[in-house]
Amino acid sequence: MNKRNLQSLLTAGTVCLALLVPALALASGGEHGAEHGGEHAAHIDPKTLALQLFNFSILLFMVIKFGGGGIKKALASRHSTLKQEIETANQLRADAETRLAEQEKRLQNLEKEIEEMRQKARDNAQSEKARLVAAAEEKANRITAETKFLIEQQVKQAEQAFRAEVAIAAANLAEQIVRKSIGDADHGRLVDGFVGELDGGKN
Amino acid sequence: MAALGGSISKRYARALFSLGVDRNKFEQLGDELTALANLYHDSTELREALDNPVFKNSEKNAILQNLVPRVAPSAELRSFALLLFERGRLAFLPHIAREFRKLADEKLGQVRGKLTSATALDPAALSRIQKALEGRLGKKVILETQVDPELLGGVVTQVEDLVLDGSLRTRLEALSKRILN
Repeated sequence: MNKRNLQSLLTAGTVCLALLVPALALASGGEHGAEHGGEHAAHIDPKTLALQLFNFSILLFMVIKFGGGGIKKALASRHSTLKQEIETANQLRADAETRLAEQEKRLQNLEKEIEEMRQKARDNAQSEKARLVAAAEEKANRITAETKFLIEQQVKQAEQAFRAEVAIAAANLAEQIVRKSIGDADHGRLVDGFVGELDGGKN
Repeated sequence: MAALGGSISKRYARALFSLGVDRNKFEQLGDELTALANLYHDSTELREALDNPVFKNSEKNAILQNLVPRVAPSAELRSFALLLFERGRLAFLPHIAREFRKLADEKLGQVRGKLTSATALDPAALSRIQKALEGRLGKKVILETQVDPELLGGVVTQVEDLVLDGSLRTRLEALSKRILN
């Protein structure tokens, strides 16, 4: 049996003794109390109290004397463990905050991307709308121009046909008038005019 | 065929014209040739008789000998007609007459033209037109007249390629075109 085991055994024995002494004192007091129990149930005996304090001091001394290192060590270990855990927790918290920041950033980017997509969709829709409107306007203009051209052509044709009818009617009317009214004197004037033109042409 | 006929006609016309010039009677020969050509052109019976193979050449020759002097008294033209008959060129007679007339007109410094009027013109009016044309062309003008009532009024003359239209018909057509345009 080595020194460490012996020390542990002694510590255990001291603890048992320290616990046993107050128990014995309490037992003796109990018997005495039982004898007078019916009259003084809440009475504190100064000798018993002093003995208990003495026992507790011995217990405290033995605990400190023999268990102080272990307790310190255990406390230090506990302290170290807690510190480590705190650091780990801090690290985890930092990591979580980092992840949270990243997530928030991603969320912000995602919203930005969504907004960009929406904007792009709006732009596309706007440009498609503009294209459709332009195409429709162009088509309408073309149809209008073609219709205008057709109408103008029809008007020209009608005008031409009307002119032709008027010309034919005028010529026919003039011919009828000439046939009815022309006489020898008129023929003579026409010959004179022809000769006059010939003479004029010569000059 | 027409080109060949034209060439043949010109050759015969030049030969007769040369003979006429030499003997100083090309105008007379021209008139007789025109009369003979008109006779041949206008008389279907004569053409059929001369082209009919039933008749002998001697008989056809006799017909010509008897007929030609009535419209063409000169001996030169009678010989010319018989020459054409012997060579089978009588069908070219109208063409030859036309070519001869061109040569004669050229020699005389004159041109022939056509005058169409809505009504028959009196000689004075015809003379005025003729003189006006001669003044315009610088040549003597011989006009062949005809009447076309469809002209309504006025006259139309054609001398060689020159056409002068003073008719009311043309004026009415011009009026119609102006209205159309």
